[in-house]
Amino acid sequence: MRVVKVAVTLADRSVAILSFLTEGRGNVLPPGGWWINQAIGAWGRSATPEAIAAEVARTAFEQPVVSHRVIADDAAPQDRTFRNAWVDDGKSIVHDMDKAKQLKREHLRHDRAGLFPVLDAQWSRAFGQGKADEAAAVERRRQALRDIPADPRIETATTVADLHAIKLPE
Amino acid sequence: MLILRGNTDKLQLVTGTAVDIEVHVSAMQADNTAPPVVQALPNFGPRASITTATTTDIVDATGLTSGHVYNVKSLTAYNNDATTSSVVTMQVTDGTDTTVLAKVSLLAGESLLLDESGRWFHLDANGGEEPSVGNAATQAEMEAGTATDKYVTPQGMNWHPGVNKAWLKAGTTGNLLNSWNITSLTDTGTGVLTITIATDFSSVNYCVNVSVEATGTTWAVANTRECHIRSATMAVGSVAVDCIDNTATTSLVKDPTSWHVSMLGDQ
Repeated sequence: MRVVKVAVTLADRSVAILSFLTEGRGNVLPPGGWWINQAIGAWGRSATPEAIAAEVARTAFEQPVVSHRVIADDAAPQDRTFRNAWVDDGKSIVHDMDKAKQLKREHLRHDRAGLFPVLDAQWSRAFGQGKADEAAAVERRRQALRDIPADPRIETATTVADLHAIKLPE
Repeated sequence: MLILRGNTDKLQLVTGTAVDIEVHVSAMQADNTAPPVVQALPNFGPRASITTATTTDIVDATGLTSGHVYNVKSLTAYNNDATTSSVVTMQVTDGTDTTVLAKVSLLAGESLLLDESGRWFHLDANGGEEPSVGNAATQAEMEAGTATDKYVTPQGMNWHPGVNKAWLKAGTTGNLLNSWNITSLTDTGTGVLTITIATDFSSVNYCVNVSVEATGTTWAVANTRECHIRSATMAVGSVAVDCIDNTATTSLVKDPTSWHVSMLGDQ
């Protein structure tokens, strides 16, 4: 399958990466297509500006389309951790750091969610058994988890590498 | 066998495309004496190639005396073109009325044959008799799915309501790995894939099946993925699917290892 990558910028500034097939298979030809081998349903088509525009128009995006442009196959970042922070600056696909920081907070909240029931049980057991020091240690960890989305390193991060360095507290 | 009346009838071949059609005629002539005199026609046999889209007199009995006949014993029209097909029509005219005897599309190397018993045959490039296409199920019959006296062609398969109209397997980033009737895939965001198909469905009331590959063989929380048709995204020519990790109190969109999507419905 051969594709041409197209960056589609939507009204909320997010970017969708459309893979426009220039070779595919099916029982019908796409507009402007031709049979490469009709016996197996293999077709080809050219990635003309008109054909790409028509394909973008046929795709039901959830936001209005602002613009689109052809990009290199490897133009999108390999790391998809902050995929929803991608934006197209007209030259390359980059991270919107404000969006990336918000995503980092969501990831931390999601990742810590499974730890709270365990810590709650540990705290109840320690408290019930009169082990005040142990209960206090568990509580310190719980508080650290509660505080982690507000870690100031998130706000001061300038790259996604800075965000990757922030982990859940041990 | 075909009888052409003297002073009246012509056997004509209509070629729909400018290709090289080669015609051979084997015929006899009979007069109206008692007993009739029957003789071969030495000037028949291979005819000049027909290389234009035209109407050609193959056997012209208008020059015969009334009451005499030409008896065409056999006839062959062969498409000698290497690649191009042509619709050919055999017809008889008396100058007023025209009757079509046979009409076929001759692919390269195919021929139309009239034998002595009066039967017409459509032969393929290997000389084998073509199957009747008259009994192939039409689109309407395939969509109804109830006929018991029709056969299904590979093209017709695509029209049956129980057959997937489009399908795909894609990787994490929406990279297409294999597909049928898909024209583009869009990585709309983490865990969201928008699919555009080659032929629009007749309405948004079609069926989408979506599944994703698990991220591991153990049923650890981290390996669990839940996929959906993305809410309110079904259009006649495209649909979005999404995938989440809902194993914590806060669900999170997640990319799967691979996407698997198929669609059924009327187009």
